[in-house]
Amino acid sequence: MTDSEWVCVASATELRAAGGLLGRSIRGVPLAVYEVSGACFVTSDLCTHAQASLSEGYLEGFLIECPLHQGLFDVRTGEAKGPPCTEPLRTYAVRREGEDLLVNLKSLRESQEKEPDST
Amino acid sequence: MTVLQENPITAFDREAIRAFYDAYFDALDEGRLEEWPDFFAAECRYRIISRENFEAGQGLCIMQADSKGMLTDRVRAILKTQVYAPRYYRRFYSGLRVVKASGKEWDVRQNVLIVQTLINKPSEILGCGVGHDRLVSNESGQLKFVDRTLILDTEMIRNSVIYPA
Amino acid sequence: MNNIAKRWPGAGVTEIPYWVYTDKDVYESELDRIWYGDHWLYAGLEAEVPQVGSYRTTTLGERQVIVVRSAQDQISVLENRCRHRGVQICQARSGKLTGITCPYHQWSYALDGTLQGVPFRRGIKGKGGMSRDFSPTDHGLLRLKVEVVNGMIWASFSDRTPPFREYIGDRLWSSYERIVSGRRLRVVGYNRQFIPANWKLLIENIRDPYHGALLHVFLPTFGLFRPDQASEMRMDETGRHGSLMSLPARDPGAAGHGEDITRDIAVDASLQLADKRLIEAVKELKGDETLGSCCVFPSVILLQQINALQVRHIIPKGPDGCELVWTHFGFEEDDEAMRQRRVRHGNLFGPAGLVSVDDSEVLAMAQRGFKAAEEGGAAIVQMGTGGRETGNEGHMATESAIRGLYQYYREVMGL
Repeated sequence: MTDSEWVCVASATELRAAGGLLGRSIRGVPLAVYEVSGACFVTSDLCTHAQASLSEGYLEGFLIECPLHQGLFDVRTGEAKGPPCTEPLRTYAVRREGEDLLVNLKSLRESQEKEPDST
Repeated sequence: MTVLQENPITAFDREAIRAFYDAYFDALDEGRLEEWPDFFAAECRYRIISRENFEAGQGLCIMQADSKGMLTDRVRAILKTQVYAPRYYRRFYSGLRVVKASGKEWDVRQNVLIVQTLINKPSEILGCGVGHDRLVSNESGQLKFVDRTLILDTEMIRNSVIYPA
Repeated sequence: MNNIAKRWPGAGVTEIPYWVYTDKDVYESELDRIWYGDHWLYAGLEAEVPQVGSYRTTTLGERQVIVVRSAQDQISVLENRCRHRGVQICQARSGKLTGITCPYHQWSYALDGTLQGVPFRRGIKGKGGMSRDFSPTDHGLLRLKVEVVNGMIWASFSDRTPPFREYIGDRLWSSYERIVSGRRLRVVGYNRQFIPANWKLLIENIRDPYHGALLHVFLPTFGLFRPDQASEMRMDETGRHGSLMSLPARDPGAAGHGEDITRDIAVDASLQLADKRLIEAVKELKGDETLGSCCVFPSVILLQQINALQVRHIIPKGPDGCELVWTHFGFEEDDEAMRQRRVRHGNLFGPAGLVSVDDSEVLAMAQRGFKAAEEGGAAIVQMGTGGRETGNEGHMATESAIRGLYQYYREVMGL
């Protein structure tokens, strides 16, 4: 396995069918996958404020609203945009190959090392 | 919590401590208030303090004395100056345990329940708590309190605490 | 209009019908017109909530509130009840919060009471949730009007309550400011008791100089108070607030700061305390008064007696009882000797108070008297020159401040 390896997280079709918001666990890392105006983004699925799954939340424009306390993050940067969230989300590099959306394995592995509890 | 392995307490000492507490509560239950200060050493402290204040490290007490003189002043006030409806207190102690023993000094704890009976009223719990005490044996071999601190779980008192415990 | 069927006999206040102390409808109306009306209620000391997020829970009237430092220079007083299904949110007496979250459905409020989070507000995968027009701004915790004055936190359920300085009035401001002059306060501790007596009896008692040397035998016995010593009973213009100040029998102004102000007032050399430290006091406030009280109607008595500084917080519990919560305080700069002194002086007050027991026991006896009385019975309040006295009363043989109180009471209650 090399740092250039990318792994498939979802297909563009199923993402669109899910309304542009999906939750996936890849190699034990919970991820949220977004589509906004044709562009795709991936962040950690876990809200940084409390135990909640962002993929069960509400996506409006580039902002994902956490279902538990309606905190906001920008899916492009992971930045916290609305209270009570203050800590940013981890983001992952994503690439499209045909219908497949791929997330970079290195950035996945780095997040595992930093956050062993998420496995 | 027992420290028997480090500071062995003899059966003789344990019986003497138990007899001391029996005598202490007997004097109070039977209303022999004038005898109460005699259970204390010349340099002593007595407190009834709410658990709230004790745990927060705050000094305010319900009843307090930091000399034997203040104990006699409290007795004089109870008998001569305070105005209150007549009542009985009966005190129940349990779980007597020596938590530290060194030389002629013992740290003793016990649970205490104070039951109050006003005239024509059912008996009720006035307070429940735990005593954190230090006893010493004086030159005559008598046990005395140098510190008696009764920490009450009961923070909302049913009107008054008249007699000590 | 109120639901009270009873009528006060006559137009004056020299008689107080017993039903004023015992009637359930009167009590309910008092909550409405007085406690939840245009009055300031005592909610705590700033020193009790030192950091952002520090909070205490307390009761104003019968309503439970959270008093929290919601920002560096902001104290919020919020009703302790979730706007969702009515759950009382905070169960502890005090602590530290980053937000206020109801345990039942996790509705989350900011420290100032704003509703921030409603779990699954948008539903789950588009199913369910609140309707689109649900507005969180309309569902924040109820916020009371708040003013912090010289370290004391005041709250009101009414927006129409005038500023505190105006509420207490000029006449009583000096007795308030004398005790809480703006120096940083430090809590010495709390005592709590349930007194089986109507809450108004406590308000009457602190403005009743008549009973001082007669009921509290401890005071003249050990030289702390004499019926002939200089005292002043003062009311504000409405009659609702009152201050009672008492000087020892010696030249006023003679004591310097830190000097013993009790040394010259022993009545009889043979009646000495075994340990005089029980009442030995040093001067620390303006004036030589050994007793200075400021009763801010309806909820609190701020009082200095010797070196015991205290807030007595009244919480009504029906017509036949109330809780009295004592907060004893000192100043941050107190040395060890002063700290010890305040603890010793605490013996005069609270549920085992060498002075206070007399009051709480006698008030319970009064309530028992009222309950067992015949229909139409009344207390008479006729000591001192008749009618409403609002000037200085420089003696203790008077009940004029009680009449002043009930003059106001009849107006505010429509009785």
